[in-house]
Amino acid sequence: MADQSQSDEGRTPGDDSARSSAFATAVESSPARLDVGRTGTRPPTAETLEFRADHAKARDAVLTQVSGETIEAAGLLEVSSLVDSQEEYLARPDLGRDVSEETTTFLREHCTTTPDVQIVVCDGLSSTAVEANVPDLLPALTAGLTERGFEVGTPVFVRFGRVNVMDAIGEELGAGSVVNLVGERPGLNTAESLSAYMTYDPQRGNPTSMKSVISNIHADGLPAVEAGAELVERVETMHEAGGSGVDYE
Amino acid sequence: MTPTADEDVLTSVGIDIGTTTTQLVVSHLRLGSAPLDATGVTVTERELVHRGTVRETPLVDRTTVDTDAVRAYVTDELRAAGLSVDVVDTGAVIVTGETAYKENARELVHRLAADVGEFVIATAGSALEAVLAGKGSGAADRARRTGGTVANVDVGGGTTNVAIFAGDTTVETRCLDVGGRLVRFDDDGVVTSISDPAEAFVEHHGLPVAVGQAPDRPVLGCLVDAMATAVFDLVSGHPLEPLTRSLLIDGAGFETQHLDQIVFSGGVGRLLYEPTGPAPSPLAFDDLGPMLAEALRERVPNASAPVETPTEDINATVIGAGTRTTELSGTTIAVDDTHLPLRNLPVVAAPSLRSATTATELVERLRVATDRAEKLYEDRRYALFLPHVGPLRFDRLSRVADALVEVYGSGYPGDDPFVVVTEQDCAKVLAQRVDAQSDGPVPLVLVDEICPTDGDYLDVGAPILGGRAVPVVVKSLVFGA
Repeated sequence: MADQSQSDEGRTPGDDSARSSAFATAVESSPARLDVGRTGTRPPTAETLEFRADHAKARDAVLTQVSGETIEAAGLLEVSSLVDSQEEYLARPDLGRDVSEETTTFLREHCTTTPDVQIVVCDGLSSTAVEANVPDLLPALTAGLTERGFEVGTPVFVRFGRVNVMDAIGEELGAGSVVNLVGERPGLNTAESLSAYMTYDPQRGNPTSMKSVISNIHADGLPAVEAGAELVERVETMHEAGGSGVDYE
Repeated sequence: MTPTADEDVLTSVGIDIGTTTTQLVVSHLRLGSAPLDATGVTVTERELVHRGTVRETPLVDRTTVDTDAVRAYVTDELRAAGLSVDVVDTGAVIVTGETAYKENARELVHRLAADVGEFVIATAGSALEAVLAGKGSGAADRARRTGGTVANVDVGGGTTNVAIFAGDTTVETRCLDVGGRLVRFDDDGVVTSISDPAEAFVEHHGLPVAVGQAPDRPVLGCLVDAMATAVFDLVSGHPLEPLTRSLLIDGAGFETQHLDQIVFSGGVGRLLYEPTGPAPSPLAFDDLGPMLAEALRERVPNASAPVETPTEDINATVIGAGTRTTELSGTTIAVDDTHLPLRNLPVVAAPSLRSATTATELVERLRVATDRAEKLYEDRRYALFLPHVGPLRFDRLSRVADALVEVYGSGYPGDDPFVVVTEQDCAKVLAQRVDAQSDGPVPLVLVDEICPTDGDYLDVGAPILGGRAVPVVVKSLVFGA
């Protein structure tokens, strides 16, 4: 008995001799932390550190902000929602869905009005997702739409923005449709996943059912650049159908 | 059976023309979202909706299949299934075992495939046959379920095809010219024909078996014993007996595997599980089938792994052909569907583009493939496979698109489709870039998330699911071409 528990302790992860091949397959195909081994009653130090590092990355994705360089390099016009701070952003989702009177005026002064398609980028719950995907997604989307004859508005970055801020901005600018690229709530496997919401004829208060979405945009999901090209076709379909969301899918 | 109007269900036909028997099955393949993949599509359910009668493969003579009789059988079975040809979405006609060597086999399957449906493939090749049998017999599912290594041993009339599955991958195939119909008899037990592989056994063991004579039962016992030994020799792997080695079909390029389970299928495989007993004569089918099965059964207790039962035996290959030949492309594809379906396109793989950075380097790498293709295929009908386009960045893909435009402009005559296949998920963006960056329209068929190898053949079907994906079949061998 003593020998048995001795040999189990400190067993290195991935030691095939100690487990069935079915279990090995499960471990290989799952991103979950399976069969990490143990030291005494706790996971091994390396695993513990890795877990904490992944958790820290997820927290960072929520708590850090998209850098000024990313916004500038992508040619985005930066504004803010009604939210003032990261704490308020998390506590008051409603304030993340609209913009102030001043911001509206600013947008009207600096943006193309009544564009066919307005592109909005929000940090959402993952600034990391925006930094990782927008640099490749945005040019594929913009170039693709322009080539198909759409007038693309001035792309806007909304700090502390939520999904529905797209309705407010689209309504104010008189856009035919809006695409909103939002960082998804991070998990412990990836903090880089982005969603793209689309809506036709945006109006404040429109229900979520009037929005279409492509989710899981990240390196191991739908690659950002391919998502951009896919969005071009989805926007085209949306304009042909004259609507978006569940009634049109 | 009523044809389905549900666009998420494909109607698939499988036709297997084997050494001894011919059969047709119809199945429904239900498509759905791939687990853990928001944009992917996969076959989620396979349902057998019509199982045709197993009938003897009609021959005109030793080297010719009776084409008219096969076609009549197919027509009858489709009618029995209540199926008209225009509702068939996909499927495969496969000619297997010794029938693949018949003089008119190639023409037969191609004509049948074209008759039966828009996107039914014609195919042959023992490696593919082995894999289809293993998928049809349930051996592949067994390996997936248990995570173990399972060998499917399909013993038919002319050949024995072994496919080895480990977990969810197909590890390898091994094929041998051994089957139940290598020797044929008339009703009096007189030998009417001996095929070349059987002759090899006869000579090797100095057995008195010759056409026109009725050999004694112990003599035939020695013959099937030798054949069964060769089958188990093949299953256990290297080193092989010289005689076994000389009867290999696709060479000995396989590894020896530790096996957890063995499953038998095929016509002889069925007899192995179903003892005929003393009642039906060992020559009930005018061949060696029942005796070979008996000899195999005697060796089961000493096999290198436990022998388990298949879910399908004699039908394994046809069910595999009807339900497992079609895979689906990625859902973000770009196809000019006026050019679909495309059949039997040879795949020409370009070198990896990963380390090519400049426009000149990219074009050079693509030209390595297109120059070779132009020499091989004067009609320019081929699919250009890009194993690696480099990082999936907008600038990078714009440069790759430029290189494709240049290669297309200088190499493709008229309005022939420009067929490009990528392993990475990037078809849509690449196609949009090619469109934007070329002067004129390019008749592009760009399919992603498919990984064929150089020399494979590719069939691309008409778009399904409202244009979201296309069915694709990768064939590793078409009549040894």
